[in-house]
Amino acid sequence: MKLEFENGLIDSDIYKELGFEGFLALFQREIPMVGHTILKPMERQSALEHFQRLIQLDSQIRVHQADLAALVQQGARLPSLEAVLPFFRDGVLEPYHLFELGQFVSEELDLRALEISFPLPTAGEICRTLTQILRKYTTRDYSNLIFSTEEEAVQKSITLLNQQLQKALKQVEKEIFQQTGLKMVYPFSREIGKDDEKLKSVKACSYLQISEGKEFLTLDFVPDDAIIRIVTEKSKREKEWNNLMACKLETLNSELKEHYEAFSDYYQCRSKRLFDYILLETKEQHQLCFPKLHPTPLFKLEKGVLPSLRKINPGSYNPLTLEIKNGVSLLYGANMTGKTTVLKTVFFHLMCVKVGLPIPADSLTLSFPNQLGLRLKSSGKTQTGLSGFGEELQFFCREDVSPSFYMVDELFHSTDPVSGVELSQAFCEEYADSESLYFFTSHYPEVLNSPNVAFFRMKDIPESGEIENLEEFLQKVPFEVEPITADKLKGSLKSGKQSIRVALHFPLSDSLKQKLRKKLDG
Amino acid sequence: MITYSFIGSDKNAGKTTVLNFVYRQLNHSKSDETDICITSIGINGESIDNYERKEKPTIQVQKGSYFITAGEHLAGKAGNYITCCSFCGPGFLKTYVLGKALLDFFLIIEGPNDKTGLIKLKQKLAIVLKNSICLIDGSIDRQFIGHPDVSDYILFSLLITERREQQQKTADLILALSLQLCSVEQRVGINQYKENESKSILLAADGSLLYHGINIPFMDKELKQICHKNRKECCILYLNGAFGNSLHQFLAPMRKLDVVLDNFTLYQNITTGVQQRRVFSPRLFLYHAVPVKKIFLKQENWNSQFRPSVEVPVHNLFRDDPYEIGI
Repeated sequence: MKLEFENGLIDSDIYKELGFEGFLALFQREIPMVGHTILKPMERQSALEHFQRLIQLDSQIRVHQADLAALVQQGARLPSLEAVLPFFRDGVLEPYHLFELGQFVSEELDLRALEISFPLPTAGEICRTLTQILRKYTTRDYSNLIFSTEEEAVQKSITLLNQQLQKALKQVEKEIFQQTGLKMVYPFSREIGKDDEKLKSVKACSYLQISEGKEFLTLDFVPDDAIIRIVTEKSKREKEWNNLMACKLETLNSELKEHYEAFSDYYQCRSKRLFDYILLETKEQHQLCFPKLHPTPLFKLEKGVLPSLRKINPGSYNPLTLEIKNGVSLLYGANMTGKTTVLKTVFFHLMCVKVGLPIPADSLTLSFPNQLGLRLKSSGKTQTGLSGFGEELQFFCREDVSPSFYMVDELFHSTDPVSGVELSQAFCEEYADSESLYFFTSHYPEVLNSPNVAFFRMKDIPESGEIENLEEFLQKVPFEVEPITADKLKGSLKSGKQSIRVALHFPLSDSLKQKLRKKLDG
Repeated sequence: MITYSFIGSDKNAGKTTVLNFVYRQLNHSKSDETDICITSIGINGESIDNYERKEKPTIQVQKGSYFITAGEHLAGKAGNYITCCSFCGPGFLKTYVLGKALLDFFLIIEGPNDKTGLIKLKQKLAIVLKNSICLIDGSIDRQFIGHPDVSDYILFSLLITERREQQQKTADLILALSLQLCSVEQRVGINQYKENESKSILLAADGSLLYHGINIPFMDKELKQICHKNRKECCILYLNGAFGNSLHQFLAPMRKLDVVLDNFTLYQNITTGVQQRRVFSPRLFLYHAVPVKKIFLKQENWNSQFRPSVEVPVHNLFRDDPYEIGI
């Protein structure tokens, strides 16, 4: 099984940047029945049912101490019947389809035995019915049809005629050799020169036919009457055999066909259940969790991980804990303290929920995102023909189907600071009472005056002690978000100059660092 | 389990006749412990009847032998075969069936048309039919046929005519068959950067990577630019894509270059269609050597004395004593 997002669901740059490919690869399994799966955005109700079903199944597996790995392993034995079902529906199954169907029902019955305490909601009786029909017409391993005495007699007669034919052909090969001295193997032709010494005897041989080419002669076999008689009888018998087999298949197909609908439903149900097992197994293997869907607007994440980032620095990676409510939430913080990463982590989790996947966090309680938008810093794309500013405005042009989640990195930094502040204030005011969740990062202190906005900031690096280099600096970034009042935030922004402190940790020239230190000293 | 792949230099080189001949001979002479299986890379183009535009079977499967074909060709063949296993789902574009013939019957043989599918199928065969010989109706255009993961041996049908162009083509093919394997050092260097999708790798003399390409080499402009830039340096160029006229001509003056072809089937139509051929200065090697077990000639002329100078048995199925052609 390979997971992929529906085309256009997520911007390809964001897909790459957030490491979705690596995360989706965790779910990859060699399970024929669940092949390429396209993840589509869910509606609230179906997501609710989806996660409820998974949570319930998870708990049943735990209660009954079932072996999830064994369930997945047995599921992998089930053949995919996608190509067989249309033949089943049309009543034209061939023997190799019966083999696949037989393999399916046989493995399916074994799988049902493993999940006896949490069976599929669809009745499994259909598999027993199919087994009974297949047993009536096919051998125990479903590899061959069962032949009646009459059919066996026809089959034997064909074999016998074939033996006679081979014998007769050997005799012809022998006669040709005796008459001409040429060794030939039926049905392969032979080439001889136009002046070949054997030509006279070849011409006299009734078993050979000569075709004249430009430079040589080609000799082909000519069957005698005895051979023609055998071949005629053999093809008559073969025709009879094929008719008998066609009749047998027709009877079998008509008996099976009436169970198509029931089996097709069952097959779909099994396919879904296998998909659920894969989600559960991956959840177990990688300590993921299922989200709790909340009826009112909310996003409460406990130790959420952005897997691609944790992979780079597993030792110092700090998972994200954050709670935001509907309306506008503004996140402040010095450069390189992880504001953008917070947005990416939130978006990553929201996207997983939107498509029904478990998430890399300790817990997540949220209102189901009807819509989802993330705008990272960019300078406009050639595809849209818009500037960064134009794209940012267009981002807000969509219809708000609350509760939805919209996130923008560096709100209106895509324009001049004076307009940027004004625009930020206007947009914050507009969305402050929305049922959706608007989560922005900003550097503008002026926006702190906006009413009804929740403020957050990234915790600063503790000032105690000297930081030697950039690596040490990055290790010490706490990557923690804390709620803060506008007044406190104003104070810290005024006394700030955090970005200048950050710049000092880069390997800049000594003269430049001296200038920066002077700025810091005031 | 071993695989014999059948390829022909041209459409009318007699490949299907050779395949039929070998298949029949093996079925008659095999021990009870050995199973014979037949399959094909894709569907053989010659099996389309020109008059009726219908698929026409060119192979009569023999009772007791195995075959692998696309399920669609088994319609109407009920009772003629036992199903041993089927291949479908990820890695296969169609459902392929491994069957055992209960009677002799004509069947269109169509196996997977890609390397991944064939390797998967071969892995399964090695389990299901441990002691078997699998005959693959191949095509020289499908270059993975020369990969040892696909073919253990190759049986090569060669068309011999008096036409100059055809003679040059034959000479090229013979040359490709007799190329030496690359050195261990070259192989180690290439292996450092070789991936499944690698189409070209250019290494400097110290083994450092100058270029890694995933596009068809003769269409890869960047590869050509970097080769040109390094034309006076000692370099190794590994190619895993058709090494045809244009690339041959482009690389011809580069004296210090060693070209390593993934396998001999990549060396294609080098001398045909080029008026003034440049002398090819680089040394040519092979990365994989798949032994050619036999060469079968199809001669258009009677008096042609042509016999390729290779160290493998050469036969003419239409003119030699068929009982002398052992497999």
